[in-house]
Amino acid sequence: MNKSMASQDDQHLIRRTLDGQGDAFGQLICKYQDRLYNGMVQILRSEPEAEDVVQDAFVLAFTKLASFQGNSAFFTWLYRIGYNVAITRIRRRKNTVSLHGHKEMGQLDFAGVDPGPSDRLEKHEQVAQLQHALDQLTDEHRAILILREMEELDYEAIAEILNLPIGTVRSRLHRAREQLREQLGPILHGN
Amino acid sequence: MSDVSQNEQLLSALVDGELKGEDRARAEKLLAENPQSQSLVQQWRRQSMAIKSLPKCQLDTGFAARVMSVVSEKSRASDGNLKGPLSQWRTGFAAIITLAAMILLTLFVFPRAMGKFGPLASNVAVSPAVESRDNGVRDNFKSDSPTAPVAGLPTAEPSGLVVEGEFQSGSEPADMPEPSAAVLSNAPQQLVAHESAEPPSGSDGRQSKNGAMSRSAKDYSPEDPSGKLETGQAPPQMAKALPSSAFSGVAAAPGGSSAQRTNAERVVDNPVLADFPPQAPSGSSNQDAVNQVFFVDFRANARPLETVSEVLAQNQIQVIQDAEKLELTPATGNDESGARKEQPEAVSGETQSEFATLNSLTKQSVLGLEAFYVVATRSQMRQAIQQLSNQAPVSGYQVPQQPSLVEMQIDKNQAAGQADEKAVAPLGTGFSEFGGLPTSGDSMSGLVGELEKKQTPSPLQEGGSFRQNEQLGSAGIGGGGRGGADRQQNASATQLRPYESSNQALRNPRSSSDSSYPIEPDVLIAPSAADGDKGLALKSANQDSASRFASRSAVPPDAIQQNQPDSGQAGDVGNSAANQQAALIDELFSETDSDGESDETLRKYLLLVRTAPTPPLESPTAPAKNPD
Repeated sequence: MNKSMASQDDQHLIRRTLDGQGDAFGQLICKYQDRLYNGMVQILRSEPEAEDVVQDAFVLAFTKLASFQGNSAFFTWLYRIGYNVAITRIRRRKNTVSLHGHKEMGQLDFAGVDPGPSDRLEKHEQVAQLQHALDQLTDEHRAILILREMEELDYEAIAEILNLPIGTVRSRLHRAREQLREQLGPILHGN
Repeated sequence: MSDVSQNEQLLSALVDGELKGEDRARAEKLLAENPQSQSLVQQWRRQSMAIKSLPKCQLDTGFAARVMSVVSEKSRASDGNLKGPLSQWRTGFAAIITLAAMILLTLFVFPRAMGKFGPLASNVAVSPAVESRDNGVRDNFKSDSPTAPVAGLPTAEPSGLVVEGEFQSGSEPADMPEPSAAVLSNAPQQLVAHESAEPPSGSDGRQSKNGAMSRSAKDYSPEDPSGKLETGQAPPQMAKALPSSAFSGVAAAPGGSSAQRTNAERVVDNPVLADFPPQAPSGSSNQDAVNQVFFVDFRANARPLETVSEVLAQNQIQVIQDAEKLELTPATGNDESGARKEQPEAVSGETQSEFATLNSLTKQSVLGLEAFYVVATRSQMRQAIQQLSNQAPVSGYQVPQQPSLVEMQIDKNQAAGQADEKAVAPLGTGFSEFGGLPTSGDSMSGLVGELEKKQTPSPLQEGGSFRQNEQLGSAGIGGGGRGGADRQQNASATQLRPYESSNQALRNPRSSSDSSYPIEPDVLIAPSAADGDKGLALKSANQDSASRFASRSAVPPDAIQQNQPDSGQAGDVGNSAANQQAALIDELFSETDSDGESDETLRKYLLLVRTAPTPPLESPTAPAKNPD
């Protein structure tokens, strides 16, 4: 399904939701829950927190649905809500003794990871190294990398979600890439 | 930016397919000619692939159902406070459930919450006089005598003020817990909780439209046998530490961190709040602290209490706890070393008189200085404050003498060590005073100040620095840094003096142990008649901002004159002034730091409003009506 069709489909579901058909919003949830969840897991580095954030984001989106103008994709709008909630949590977390962080990320139970027996260890190590490198990035840099690389959003959508000028998106993305490259160094690049 | 960095940015954008035209051609040429660029791009692409190949997480299949369940719960619990399609889902059954929940809350939760003053500091004295909010109203309604409290507006004795002042200055009773931070000394005045720890007899909490407790004159029964207010009689045993549970019932849901909570636990007690716990500010471990404080007509011009509640309800603002009565007392000051003085600072006779008058009126329930703890978005707060400011003050409650106007001082200091030359003394929440508040109610006189909490540690921990202000009209940009040694005083012609700058209670409404939760004032839109200028004026710690505001805030003196309630000709000029004020408030919100939050992010606010009971009492200054 191309973007335009997806957008039309979303608009239709939104209209139905606003008309009082709750199942339509349920469909929107099913459609985007995992995508949003993945992004939030990477931003928050905690599965349980990410789940909370996704839930909050959907509930907030539901309550604010009437204000959604359709100027951007529904997912972009939803992601922005989720991102704001996540950032709120990150700020709060910084003020407390962290019970999350690396421990939780170390316990991430990725669905769909089913490497062959010979590849399992190598894959696991690679993922762990990459996760560790992402952990070393600032929240800002990690978030923008996730939006670009994982969510494959264009600069315009990223700018909207992060509330940044496009020029800043470009420069920040470059810095984030460079930071990650430094972190990964010989692991990924073999030099 | 170096050429290398610029080129790399171009290449980065090329990798993302975000270049067009000349830029794209330039990047491609660079890539073709430079092996290093090729290597770099190759590494970035490898990184990108690695990130894309990260295992994906999945939520369980019941997630959507759980979300819908929470939505449904919210719909019932909020009873109309939520926007969007929820309202269309309401059924008669939901209404019944909501009604039952409200009754239960009224019976069991709010009475308890109303009797506590957690948010306003654990060492705030609860004057015995307090019971008197009810009685005072009763007395006022009964009284036609010119010697009755209302008639005595300008000359009321500051007896209550003295009591609170002494108490605040260190004469805490033995059973008073360690003040631990909560001195309401955002001053020159302090805000003193002015209500009994228990709900006054005969004054039941009443559920307002938005589900919050609200009280008005109607709630004060003439049959209340609890006795009359006697000001100045605050026996030590009556001075109670405020329980640290202002947000009781609002605190984080049980079960520890959200990560450890089940979905069911996340909606206990108050689903709205449990599910949307606005964050405490960065740097604070107090999760229940307010994010910002707004003052609306802090000093003299009163709005009907019911109007305030209605405005909050109209804007779908969730009131956690409201209608706490405060009064003004002089603050104790700091000496040059930043140490707290034992005695309250002397305040000018005029100020003292004004405080006395205001406090007297407050005790008599003629005036209220009410604190509303709310959960709202910035957009909602902006709208509500706009509406409040546009409400004509209740006539007859103005202090009929030239009062000095409390001004919230501004501090925009950044994180410790980052204070620039403009970012003066951290947390210098000192006030300055200046004369000339318009004495009659006009819609232009909305005094809207904002205290913003910041992430920085309290400067008081670092020497108690403060800043003083300049006379209205010149932006109060004090210099100074942290610590007493850096203190600078931009003294104006009017009575500037060092006041302890921390309003600990506001800074840390719930937990006095969290000293890293400063609230700093940010900007103020204030009416002033000083020097013949009756226009709006704004103070800001930021010179540029202040200048900008000042340049646009000049309102022709005639505007206010013509906008007097009695003038009967609040015409175009008045409208223009109101529009200007609206624009200023808009700008205030757009200028002030929202902490990077979306305007639609729910946060906790403390809204202070000078209120008056409705129906308004007859103006003491109005000529007596001829019964014939």
